[in-house]
Amino acid sequence: MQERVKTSPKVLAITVACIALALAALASTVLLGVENYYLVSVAIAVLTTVPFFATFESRKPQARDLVVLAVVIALAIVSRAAFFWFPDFKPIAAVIIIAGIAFGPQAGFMTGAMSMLLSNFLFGQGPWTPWQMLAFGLAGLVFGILSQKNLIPHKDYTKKQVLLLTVGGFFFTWCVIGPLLDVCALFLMANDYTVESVLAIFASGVPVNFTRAVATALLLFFATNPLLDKLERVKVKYGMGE
Amino acid sequence: MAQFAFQNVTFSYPKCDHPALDKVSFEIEAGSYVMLCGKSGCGKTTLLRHLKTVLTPHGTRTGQILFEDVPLDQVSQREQSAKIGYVMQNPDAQVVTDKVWHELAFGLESMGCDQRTMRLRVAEMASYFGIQGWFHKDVKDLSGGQKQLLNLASIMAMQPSVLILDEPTSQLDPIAATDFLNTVRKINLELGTTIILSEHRLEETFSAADRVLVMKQGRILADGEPHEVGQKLITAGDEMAAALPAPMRIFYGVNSGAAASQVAAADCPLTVREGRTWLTQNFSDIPQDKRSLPDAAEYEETDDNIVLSFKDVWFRYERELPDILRGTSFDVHKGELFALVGGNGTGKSTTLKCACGVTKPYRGTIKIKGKKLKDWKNSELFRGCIAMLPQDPQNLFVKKTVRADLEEMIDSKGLTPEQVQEKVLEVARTCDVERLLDSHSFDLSGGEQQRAALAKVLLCDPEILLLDEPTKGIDGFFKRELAGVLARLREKGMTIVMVSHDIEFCAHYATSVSMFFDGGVVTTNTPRRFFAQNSFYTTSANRMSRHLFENAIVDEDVIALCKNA
Amino acid sequence: MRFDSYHPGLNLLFFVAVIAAALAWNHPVFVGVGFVCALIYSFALKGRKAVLFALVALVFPFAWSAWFAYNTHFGITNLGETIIGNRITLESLAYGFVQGAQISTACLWMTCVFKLFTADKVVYLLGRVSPRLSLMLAVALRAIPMVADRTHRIDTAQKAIGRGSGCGNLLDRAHNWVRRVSIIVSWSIERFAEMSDSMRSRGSLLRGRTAYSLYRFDARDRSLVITMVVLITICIAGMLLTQTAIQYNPQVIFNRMTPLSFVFYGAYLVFCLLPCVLQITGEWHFKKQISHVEPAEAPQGMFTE
Repeated sequence: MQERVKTSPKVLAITVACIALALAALASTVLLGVENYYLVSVAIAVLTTVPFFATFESRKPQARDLVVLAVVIALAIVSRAAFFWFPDFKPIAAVIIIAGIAFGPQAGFMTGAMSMLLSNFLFGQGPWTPWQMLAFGLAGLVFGILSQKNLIPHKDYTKKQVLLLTVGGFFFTWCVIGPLLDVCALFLMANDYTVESVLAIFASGVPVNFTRAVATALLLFFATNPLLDKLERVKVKYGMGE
Repeated sequence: MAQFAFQNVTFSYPKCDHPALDKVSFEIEAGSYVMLCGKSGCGKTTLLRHLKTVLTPHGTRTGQILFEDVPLDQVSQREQSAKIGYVMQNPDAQVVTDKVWHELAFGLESMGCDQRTMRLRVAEMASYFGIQGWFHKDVKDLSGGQKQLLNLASIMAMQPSVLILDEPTSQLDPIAATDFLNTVRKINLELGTTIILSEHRLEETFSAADRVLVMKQGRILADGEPHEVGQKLITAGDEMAAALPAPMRIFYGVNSGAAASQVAAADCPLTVREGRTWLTQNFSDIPQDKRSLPDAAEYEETDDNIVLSFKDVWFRYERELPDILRGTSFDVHKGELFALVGGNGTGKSTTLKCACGVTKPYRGTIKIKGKKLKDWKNSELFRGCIAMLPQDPQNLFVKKTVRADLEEMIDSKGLTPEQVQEKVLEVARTCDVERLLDSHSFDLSGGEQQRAALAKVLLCDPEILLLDEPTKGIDGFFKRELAGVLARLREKGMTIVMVSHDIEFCAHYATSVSMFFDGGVVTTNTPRRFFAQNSFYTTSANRMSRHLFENAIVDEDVIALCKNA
Repeated sequence: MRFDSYHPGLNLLFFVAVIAAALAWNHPVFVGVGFVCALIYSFALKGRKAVLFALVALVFPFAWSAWFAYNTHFGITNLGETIIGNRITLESLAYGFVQGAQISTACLWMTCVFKLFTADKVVYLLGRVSPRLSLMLAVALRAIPMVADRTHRIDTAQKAIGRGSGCGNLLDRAHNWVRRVSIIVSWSIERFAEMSDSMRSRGSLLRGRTAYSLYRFDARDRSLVITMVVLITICIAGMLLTQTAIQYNPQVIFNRMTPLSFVFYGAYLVFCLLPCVLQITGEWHFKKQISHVEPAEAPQGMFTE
């Protein structure tokens, strides 16, 4: 998945259409005074997710790639479900980050989005689902890009690199994924927005996000190398993504 | 018209210096029964996978493959799916749906058949393969043999013109394997389907094949009719000669050396029946006193040096399930290679699990080195006393290289890194896995995995080693290597208890053999006495020669008696 | 003939109809009929095993009624006051009780659904909608027990070298657990790649997939579906004539009972009892038949499983 692939016109068209629709949805709240923020927020989240799926599909993934991704997604779901007894302590982002590093941004996004979508069948679906898909998909995407651009290694992390990745994953989960989910809460809870109410919602999210980030960091610290080894091996063996 | 044609095909895997297929060329006629053999790792699977585009491995390739005179990659997926049937090694991994009926219909569903056609074809297949009785069953409740038969049936439902089978019986017990191979033979004879089969169980397939291809290091070493190929392998002194059927080995053992190239290849017997005729024709005038090998000493049931003993052990997995072990009693003496043989599901593997305390019997006593099993502490038991090699070695591998996996087993407290490496090397040397230390354990062949797993188990430093079907899925060559490893361990004073279906292996290498049946040991004896007394459950060499000779159970016995005449 | 031997489409139609009716109609007669029939059928299907759930279902309406009346205070008939001074009304008690019974009924029917809908039927029904989805379900149904079984085998193998899940101190155990997860991940990737090879080799990626059907729609199914449709039509007519729901707020007002009302009640009762009736008559016929054929070897377990 390392070489550059040209974006196909179809995907480009889909992306443009989605952006246009998302902007239209935003504009409708501002200009036309549509007050159903709930619906608008869901629409925006869904629309941002679509282009990534389109890119992934356009690359014609092989059945074997999908199978390996399915196993990783299953692992991600298990990592969320295994800690059902510990609220917010869900290391799922770690698995997604590692998948992103191993398989690149598109597959990383897919892993994140799909594992949230599917695990919500256990934890409950709702208007937050698209937001979670977007937020956790981003984790896979961002770390996928980093590894694709060779800013972080694809495999064989040294102790120091593992530590760096752990810290990076920690802050990403705490400061990017968390607030994104809080934005969702913002749309769902509040009816009229004041600076105070917005701040209150973000502030109430901080400890929750912190717990999640700790879980992620712990799993990243322990699982990065073992899991990357396994994924790297199947990549070579089955020529994934080439 | 040739059904398949390979034209100078060369292929190498990524990150691999030497090609896995090296300038391979051959043609296969429609309706023929072709057997592909060779040491494991010689490129058989790679070759077979090239016969279907979707299965073709990843790597670089030159040369061309034709299917019915059309380049294979130009044949549509739809046509390939239906016409080229492919049965893989592992019965379990190929079944993709949860129910037998669904699996049978799978291929037809893919082809988009309508309901009437599907019903008819599924009914046909279920009847032809005798699946009616378990048509509605869950796949997970089937035996390995049934699963593999189901795989075959679900492929035959698509009415392929060629059937490719990649070591289809390596994971099956001998009875299921013979059944399966007979069915394949029947398909070839009754339907005219082309068969391309790779096998390491040459005993049964060699005589059935019209043509044999032998591979070595990615090249075709020999190609021709079975008799000729046999002679060629023998005269070339190739390693594969050891894997030939017993009658053939005995024939060339008698006509050894220069004689091997002079005898007419067609005279060589391929099956036990032919072998008996050949022996009768040539050796029936041997005087009575030269027809018997000295009778081995009777198996002694002493009470000395018993390291493992079972006394009236009863076991069942769950309260409402039937008993698996029903008063099992036996003793194993120090330094023995004790083999438990017997049919499937008689409780052999369960016996091993009980012996190392993984499962607990509800009645009876198990003693290890004279001390009751339940009085042993886990930490003492598995450090230097007992350890088991499971049937599937993959269940043991944790790390990414064999070396890391071995290091993981060593309690490194108080040891320098050099000492750890020393230990790893030592055990690797014993098990013959030195050159595999830096490979990934999943990339090894069945035999190599088995030995790597053995190395890992040996790091528990056991005095008693339990082996569950150690020869399953391993070809003749690797079996001999394994036997060498076991011999070395016994020299060091280790006691080995082995559960096996492999009669030939037990006859050659065990010191005592026990027949396990219906949850208990029926009889224990030395291999010579044990197999000489049996008439069905015995080696090919014995079955072939028992009408003339007494006490001959392995090839060498028969050869010696023949030469002596 | 047992109800589960009919076409799965009919099973689905029946349960969708009774569960929808149970949730939508709050007329006490309809609620009562639905509850009793669901209770009877759950016993008919599960025998003694149904007792525990039935007890819960019986108690639940009372509990729900109490909780509902404690929190909701509509209605005009005052019965008393809660500790914090809120009114307790007859209407809210009655409404809570009916609602509780509705939920109980739906849950009872659901237990029957779980018993009756085998994986085969679900795969079949899904296959009518999307063969690809139904295949995915079948693959998942195969894969999940396979992984579970492998986890068990891995643990056995590890135990036999002293590294099982229950070996050593707490730290060792955690470590062994992680090792097990690691093995299962490697194994799954390997195994599922093999499975996908097997699928593709049999053309799983081709367009135009169909789904094999284990079931046939025969004359027996046809007569049952006609009966069901007639009964459903009558009940829907009742609904359109507002015979199936009554008013609770602010006062319990029954609608007028006419002779026609009894037709609706009867239709609903017969509909809900259909599976039980089929089962009882089927078994009776079967017994009669085998007593004619002496000394028959009854194929035990074929129908009376």
